[in-house]
Amino acid sequence: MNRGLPVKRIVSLIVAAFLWIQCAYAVQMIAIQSIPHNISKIIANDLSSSGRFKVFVYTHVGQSSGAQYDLLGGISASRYGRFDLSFKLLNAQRHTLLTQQFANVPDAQLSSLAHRMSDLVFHKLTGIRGIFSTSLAYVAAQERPGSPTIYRVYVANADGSNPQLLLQQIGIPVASLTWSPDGQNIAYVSYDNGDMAIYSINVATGIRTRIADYPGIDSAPAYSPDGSEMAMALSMGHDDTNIYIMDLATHKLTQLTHFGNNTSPVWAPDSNSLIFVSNRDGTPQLYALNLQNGQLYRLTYSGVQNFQPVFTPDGKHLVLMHQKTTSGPIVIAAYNMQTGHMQTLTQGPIDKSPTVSPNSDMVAYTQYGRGNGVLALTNITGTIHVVLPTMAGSIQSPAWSPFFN
Amino acid sequence: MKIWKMSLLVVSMVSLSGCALMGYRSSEPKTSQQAQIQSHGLGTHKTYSSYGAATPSVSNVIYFGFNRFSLDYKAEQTAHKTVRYLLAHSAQSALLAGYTDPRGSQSYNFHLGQRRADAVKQYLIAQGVPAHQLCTVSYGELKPAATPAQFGGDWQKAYALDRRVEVMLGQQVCNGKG
Repeated sequence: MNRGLPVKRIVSLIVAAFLWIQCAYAVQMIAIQSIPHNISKIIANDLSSSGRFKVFVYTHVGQSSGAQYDLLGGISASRYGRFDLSFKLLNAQRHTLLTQQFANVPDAQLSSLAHRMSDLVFHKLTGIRGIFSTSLAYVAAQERPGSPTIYRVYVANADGSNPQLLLQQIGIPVASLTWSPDGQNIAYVSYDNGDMAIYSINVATGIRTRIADYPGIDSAPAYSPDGSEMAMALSMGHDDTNIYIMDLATHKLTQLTHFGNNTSPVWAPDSNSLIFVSNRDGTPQLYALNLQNGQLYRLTYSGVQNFQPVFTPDGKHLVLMHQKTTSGPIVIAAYNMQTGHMQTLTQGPIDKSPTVSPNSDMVAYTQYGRGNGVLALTNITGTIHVVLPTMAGSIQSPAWSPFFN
Repeated sequence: MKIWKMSLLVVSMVSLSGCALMGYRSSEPKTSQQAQIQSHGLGTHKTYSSYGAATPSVSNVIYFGFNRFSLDYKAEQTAHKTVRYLLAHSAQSALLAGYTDPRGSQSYNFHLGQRRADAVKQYLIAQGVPAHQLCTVSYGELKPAATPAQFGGDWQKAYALDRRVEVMLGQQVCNGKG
């Protein structure tokens, strides 16, 4: 796909250069004004938002920064409105080439190329797959004086850039967005004709499908890891809300719980168990159900309320909404599946709806403290905190896509 | 932003007290604009549109305590106005929509909203309203009635307005609902 450039050309491009990186937890970049799209800025923003790099952007090659790694790049206009680009990642102290990349892309693909370069650098330097080419879906609820609120679903880049409108509903809320494992569909809860139901929408075509519409509550969709089943919380017109699994080919339901408010089911990455929230012992806590032998046990005892869990795809943590004391803040926390340790990641006062990046490294969520949802980003250790740019409105139900490959 | 929210609140308070003073003649269901759904595939330029049912107007609001879904004396008094109206208008149906404040998770709060709507439904049935005139839906925390900013950051006042069941009247309002 990428047309390589002859070596001589590369050298001259670097002389005409736009990009230069150094790292040891420091990434440095050099940009020139003639770049039609601010590639250095995108890569710098991606890498620094991961919390793993300190990034400097320079406008001239050769400035010494003392950083461990250099990212060096060049760009030149090629024919038919396309651009030739080259990137080199160097160990600045050992003067060794770690990786290089050449590309020829049209103007419209320069920003996605920049995210791919961030992925390449991130993977090379951390050993972890980068998520800078994945997507974040979210709901933006726009209140209007004297008129019904407009609910819009956007699909944006993982850094919040380039939001694209997928679904718009006037006066009809949308919630509980979740991606199918193949990245083709987003399931959600909504209210066509005023009645609650679970739907899915095909991201490429925009075609909607109604998946579950029973009396009362139809909520909390969660695709199984192979995409063939969906766990959900239904009330079936009764007092209790229970966990069911639907076979998506036949729509046949299997009921898994029988008493109380049971909701927010999530599949363990190995498909062998479901974690869900239940108030069966009084306050909302997490429970684990082994799908092989039917064994059920309570998972969380720390805090007065724990809800809305999501698994990190590596299965090591559950990221969830956690309230330690009755009057305390509701924060995002990471529950270590092996040790049972609850690590607080955010401050509150009301942080909601966590969603985890497909490399298990980052957590997006909404800050609801002022009554207006704001999309925010932290990492699995809670060491970085970034507010992401979004479209206008109260931001709700963020959902991180899987890797698209 | 703040100003129009305040004015909205004032308008809704006036219309609520209007209901209380003038009985139900002033609160005959009015259809507001058609709810519209549009989806756009990101891989195509196609747009799909559908028109939902007309949104019925709110005729009565019953409030609840924190984490509660039982009707206290004041809530029963408020609900009784709906009893009188529905007994006098047997062709009318009432959609009871349950809501919560935002403390809790979206999914967890659907249950509480549903239990509030169910509690009002049970009260109306106990007062003689035929069950076939009633239906319920839960919006949980998805449609807050107020924000703390409207009350200078006093979230307790805002959240008290969120914890509610809205009674919506209309002849078609329960069609196709459980």
